[in-house]
Amino acid sequence: MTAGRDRDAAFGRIVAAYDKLLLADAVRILCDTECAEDIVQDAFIKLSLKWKGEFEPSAAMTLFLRAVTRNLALDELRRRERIEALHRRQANERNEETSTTAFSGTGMNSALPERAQRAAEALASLSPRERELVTLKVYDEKSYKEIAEATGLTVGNVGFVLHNAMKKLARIIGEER
Amino acid sequence: MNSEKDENEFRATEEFLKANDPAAVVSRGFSAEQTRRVVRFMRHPFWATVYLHHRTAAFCVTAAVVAAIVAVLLKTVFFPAPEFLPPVDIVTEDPDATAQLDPEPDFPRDVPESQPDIEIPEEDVE
Repeated sequence: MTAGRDRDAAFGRIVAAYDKLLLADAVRILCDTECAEDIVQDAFIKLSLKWKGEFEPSAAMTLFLRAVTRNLALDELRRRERIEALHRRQANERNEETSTTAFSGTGMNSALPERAQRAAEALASLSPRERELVTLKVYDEKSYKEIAEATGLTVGNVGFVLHNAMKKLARIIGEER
Repeated sequence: MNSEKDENEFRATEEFLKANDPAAVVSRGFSAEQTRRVVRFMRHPFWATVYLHHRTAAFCVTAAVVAAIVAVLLKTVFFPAPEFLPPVDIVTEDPDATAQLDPEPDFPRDVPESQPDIEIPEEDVE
């Protein structure tokens, strides 16, 4: 009984230690705060099911949680894209005009400063792969080689995708500025 | 010249994104209720697994129900229930064989046809 309570307390400490970091990661990819909370919750549940070691914050646990959160967020993003493509196709069949922001728009808190909202909207216009690479490069400040190792792409491919993504972002931000 | 312009654009965009991080909205972490929910899932791994794979589970249940309905429909179409056939008269020349086919019922022969009347004493009639 005491062991169970200790385990609960240890897990509670892990949640408190990592929740902000993981929420920030998820929000940068999803641009949706509510969905980011669900994703982070799922990441903690996965940790409780799969983590074999002690429930103590560590570098390995940080890597595990961040990778799981990123993958879950990208899965969610791809799922949304599929739904969006389906809706677009159905609308085209009915010759209706669709708003491109119907699903790809941000679900960000309106309390966000205007420029940050613009940055979120610009990020939301990127594909899941581009968003992943941009967040790794800009916010995690990883080198091309580290990004290639984390994503399984070649260094050249990382450079190509990032270059295109940043050009796209520059164009969108430049239009809004 | 062009690559220098690209480089500057890249840096400016990077700076803009860093300065206006959308994650600035994350001012607080999980609420106490969210933390409790996660800890509860940690205590019950089975339900945690069901929760994580609820979409797959829902898909499997739906697929099983559809498969069962299709199986019943196919069976009804291709293997219908047999119809009742009319009774067949057995005609034979051999009376013994007929007797064998339709033996006399083995009723007890020595049972009286009716029960004897029971006399009720007069004092019991009232």
